[in-house]
Amino acid sequence: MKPQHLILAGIFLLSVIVRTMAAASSEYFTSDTSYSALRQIEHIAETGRPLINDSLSYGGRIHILMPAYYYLLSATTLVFPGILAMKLVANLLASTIIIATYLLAYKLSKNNNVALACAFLSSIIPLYIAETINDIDAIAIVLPGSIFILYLFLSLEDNNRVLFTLVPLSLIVILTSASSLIVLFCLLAFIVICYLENIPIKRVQKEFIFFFFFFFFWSIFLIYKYAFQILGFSLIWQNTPSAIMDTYFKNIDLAQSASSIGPLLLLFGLSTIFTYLFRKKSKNAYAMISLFFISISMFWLRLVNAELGIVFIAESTILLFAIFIMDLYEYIIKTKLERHSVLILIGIFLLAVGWPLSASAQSVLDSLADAPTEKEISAFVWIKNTLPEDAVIMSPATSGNLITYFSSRKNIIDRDFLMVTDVDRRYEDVTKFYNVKIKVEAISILEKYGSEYVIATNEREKEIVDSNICMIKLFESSVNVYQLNTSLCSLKRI
Amino acid sequence: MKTRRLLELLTVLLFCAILLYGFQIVRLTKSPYLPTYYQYENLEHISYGNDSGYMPDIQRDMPTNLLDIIMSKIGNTQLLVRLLPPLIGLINIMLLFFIVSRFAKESDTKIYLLSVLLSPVFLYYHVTYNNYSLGLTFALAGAYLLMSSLHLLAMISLILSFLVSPDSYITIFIIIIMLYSQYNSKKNIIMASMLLLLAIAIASVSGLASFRPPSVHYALKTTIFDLGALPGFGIFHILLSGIGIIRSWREKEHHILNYIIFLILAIMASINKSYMIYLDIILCYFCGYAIAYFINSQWESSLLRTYVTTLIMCGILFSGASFLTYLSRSDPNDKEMTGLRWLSMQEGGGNILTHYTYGGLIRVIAKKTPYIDTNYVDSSRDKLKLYETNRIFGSRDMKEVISFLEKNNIRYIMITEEMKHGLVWTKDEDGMLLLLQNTIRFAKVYDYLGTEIYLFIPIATR
Repeated sequence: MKPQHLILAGIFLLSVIVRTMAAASSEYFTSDTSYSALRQIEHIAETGRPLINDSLSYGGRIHILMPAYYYLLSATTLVFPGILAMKLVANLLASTIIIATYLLAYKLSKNNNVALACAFLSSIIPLYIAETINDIDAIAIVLPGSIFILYLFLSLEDNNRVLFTLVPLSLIVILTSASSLIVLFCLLAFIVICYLENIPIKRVQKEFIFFFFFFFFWSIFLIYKYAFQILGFSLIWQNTPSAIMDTYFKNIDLAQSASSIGPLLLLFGLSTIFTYLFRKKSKNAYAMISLFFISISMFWLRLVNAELGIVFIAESTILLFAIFIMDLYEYIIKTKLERHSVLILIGIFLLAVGWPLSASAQSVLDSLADAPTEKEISAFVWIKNTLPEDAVIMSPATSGNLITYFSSRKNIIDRDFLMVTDVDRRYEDVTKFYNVKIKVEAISILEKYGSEYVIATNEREKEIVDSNICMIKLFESSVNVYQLNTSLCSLKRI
Repeated sequence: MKTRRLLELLTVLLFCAILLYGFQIVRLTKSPYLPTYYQYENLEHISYGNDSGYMPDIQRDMPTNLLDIIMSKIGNTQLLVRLLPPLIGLINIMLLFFIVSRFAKESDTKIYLLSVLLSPVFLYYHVTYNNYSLGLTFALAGAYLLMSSLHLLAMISLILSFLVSPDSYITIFIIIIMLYSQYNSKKNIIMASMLLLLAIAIASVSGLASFRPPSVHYALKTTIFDLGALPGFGIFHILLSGIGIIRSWREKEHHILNYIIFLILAIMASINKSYMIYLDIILCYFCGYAIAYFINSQWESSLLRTYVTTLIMCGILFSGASFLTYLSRSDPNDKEMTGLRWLSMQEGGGNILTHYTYGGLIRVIAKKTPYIDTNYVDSSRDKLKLYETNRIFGSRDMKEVISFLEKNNIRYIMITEEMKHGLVWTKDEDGMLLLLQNTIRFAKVYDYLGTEIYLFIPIATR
C-alpha cells in the first residue's frame, strides 16, 4: 500500500471513529426528521415497501419519497439491528466524501499531497458534520455520490470502462434525492462552458449526460407527478409553509455560507474561478466552476434546501482550492521563493484549515447538545403507554415526528410538509395555539383537529398552556402533557 | 417487398386494435359506464338529433356535426360509441402509415407510428366518442388522395372533414398549402400563405380582448396529461419532440413548414382543444424524429445507447399505459349513477343545479335539464351561467340564493362527493352547503353513497 493511501485510510478511519463515538454519546438522533426516516426504514425492513399511507402523521396522509437511501439503511438494519449500528452506517457513508474528494482533487491537481489536504478539508465541512453526525439524512449519500459521479465523469475522458461504475452510482444518487438535480445542472453547465470556450467534449461524456438527464427526468416524474398535480410549483420547496419559508432563508445567507467554510478558502476558490474563466483553459477546472456556480444558483433560487446548497458550495470551494494550490506551487517554483515553497503551501493550508476545523468542532458539540434527552423522550413514551390509541396530539411541528415514532399516536403537524394540502393553515393554527392565551381560540383549534391532548416542549409553551384553565396537566417533565377538560371547556358549552 | 410492407401494416394495425379494443373490454369489466362525463355530453348531441320531442324546454345553441346526425339515425348508440372510435383509430393509423411511408425510411415509419399510437391524445380521441377523430380521418384521407393526385376525391374528403369537425377548419388549409408546396416551386407563395395562417391564429388569440395568459401551473395542468390534463400530451412526447425540433434545426430548410404548422396548431390548440388531435400528429412527428436520432446515430458507448433508448421507450410506453389505466378507472361511477337514476324517476319539471361536468349525465341518465353543462362552458362566450353558478355555490346569503333558484326554475340541487372535496367546496360548511343543511326551504330527498340531492321548496308549496 502506498503511503498516501495509508494516510487517506487513516483520515477516513479517524473520521468514522470520531463521528461514531460522538454519535454514540447520545442515545437519540438530533433532528426529529431522522425519526420520520427511521419509521420508513423500519417499515421497509418489516414489509419490504416504504410507508406510503401513513395513518399517524398529520392524522393521516400519504408520503412521496425517493426510496434508495431508506432501502440501503433498512438492508443494514437486517444485518446489524439497532440505532447504534444505523448511526455507524450513516457515518460510514458520510465519511466516503473523504475518498471521493481525494480522487477528484487528485484528478484536478495530479498531486497526492494536495489531494490529501483536500480530503481532510472535506471531512471537516461544519454544516456537513452537523447534518450527518447524529442524524439520518440523504445528504450523506448525495454529496459523496455527486463527487464520485463528477470524478468518474471526468475519467470518461481516458477510459470508457468507468461507465460500469458510473451508471449504477448515478442510479443510486438519483433515487436517493431529487437534489441530484445539482449534478444534472452541473453537467449541463459544464457543456455550455466548454462550448463557449471551444473545448471539445468526448462523445461518451455527452452520451452519459443524455442518460443522466433521461433517468433523472423519468424517475422524478414517476415519483413526483402526483405531488405536482396537487401542489403545483410549491413542490419544489417541499410544500414548506410560507411562514417558515419567509424566515428560513433569512437566517441563512451567502455570508453565512461563506463563513461556514472559511473566508480564506472561498477567496482562493474565487481566484481560481477568475483565473480559469479569463486567463487559462482547463476542462477539469470548468467542471468545478460549474459545480460552484450551480450550487450557488440553486441555493440562491431556493431550489435545494439551504443546508445542502451550502455544503455543495463548500465542497466545490475545496476542489477549487486543489487547483489553486497547484497553480500557486507552479508559480512559486518559478520565483526566488522556490526553496520555501513547501513551507508556504503548508502555511496556506494551515490558515485555510483553521476556520472550518474550529467551526466543525463546534458543530459536533451543538449537534449533540440539540439531541433530545431521556427525560424528554420519557413523555412521548408515557403518551404511548397511557393515552388512547386514537388520540390526536397537539404539538409544535418540531415534535411531530417524535409523537409518531415514540408515541405511535396521530399528530397535527410535523416537519414533513410534502403532500399536505392545508399545511399553511395547520402551521398557522399550531403557531396560534402556542401563542394565544385566549381560551376560546385555543379550544376551537383543538376541536378543529379532533385533539384533546397537548404537549409543551419548552418554558414559553408551558407558560401558555398552563395559563389555560381548560387544560389539565397529565404528565410533568421536560416535556409536559396536558388534556383538554371537555366536560368543562367544550366549545359548544362556552 | 410489398408483402413485407403489408405485413408491417398488419402488425401495426393488430397492435392498434389490441390497444384500442382491449381498452374497451377492460373498461367494461370495471364499469358499465362510458369513460369520462364528456362522452355523455356527446351522447346528448346524438339523442338531440334522434328525438325532436326530447326535452322541448331546452332553448340553446346545440353544436351539431355530420357524425352526430348520422349516429342519431342508427339505433343502439351505446354499443356504437364503444365500437366506432377504435375503428376510426385503425383507419387513421392505416392512413398515417401510407402517408409517412411516402417520405420516411421504413424503420422511421414504425417509430413514428409507435409514437402516435402511444400518445395520450391519440388514445383519448380513439377510445372515446367524438367527432374530431373522424375529422382527422377525412383530413388524412384528403392528404393521401392529394399526394396520389386524386384531386376531386381529395377535395370531397377535405369538405367532409370540415363537415364532421367544423371548428378545426384551419387544419384543412394547412393540408392544402402543404401539399401545394410539393408540386410547386414558388416557395414564397407557400411561405406567405403559411404566415397568413399564422397571423390568423395569432389574431384568434389576441382578438379576444379579455385573453390573459394562464399561470404556468394552470397551463401545464391543462396541457400535460401526466399532470392532470384530459386530453393532454404525454410529458415524454413533449420532451422528445423538443429534442426532435432541436435536432432537426440542422436541416431547418427541410422542416421550416413543419415548424410553422407546429406553431399555428400550438396557438390554435391553446384556445380550442379540438386542434389538439392535429397538433399531436406533428408533435409525434418530431418525437419520432428524436427517437430515430437516438436509435440511428453512432454511439461511442453501446451500453449508454441501450440505456437511453430503453428509458425513452419505457417513458413513452408508460405514458400510454398510464393514460389507458387512468381512463379505464375514470368516472362516472355507481355513486353518481344511482343518484341520477333516482332523479330520472322523479316527476315534474324544473332544472337541476349541479357542477357543469355532470350536465351531460343529467340529460342522458336523469332525463332532466341541467342549469349548466360542459357544452355551455365550452361554447358560451360570456360564460355568464358559469360565473353565476360559482357565485351561488360560494354564497351564504339566503336571499341571493333563493332569488337565483326561483329565477332559474331550479327544482333539485345535486351534490356529489367530488363537489364537496375540492371540485366546488373544501369544507362541509362552505358557502351554499351551510344553507342546504340549515334552511327549511331545502329538503334532503336523497342521500346515498356520498351523493346528496336537495329539493328546493317554492314558497307556494311551503
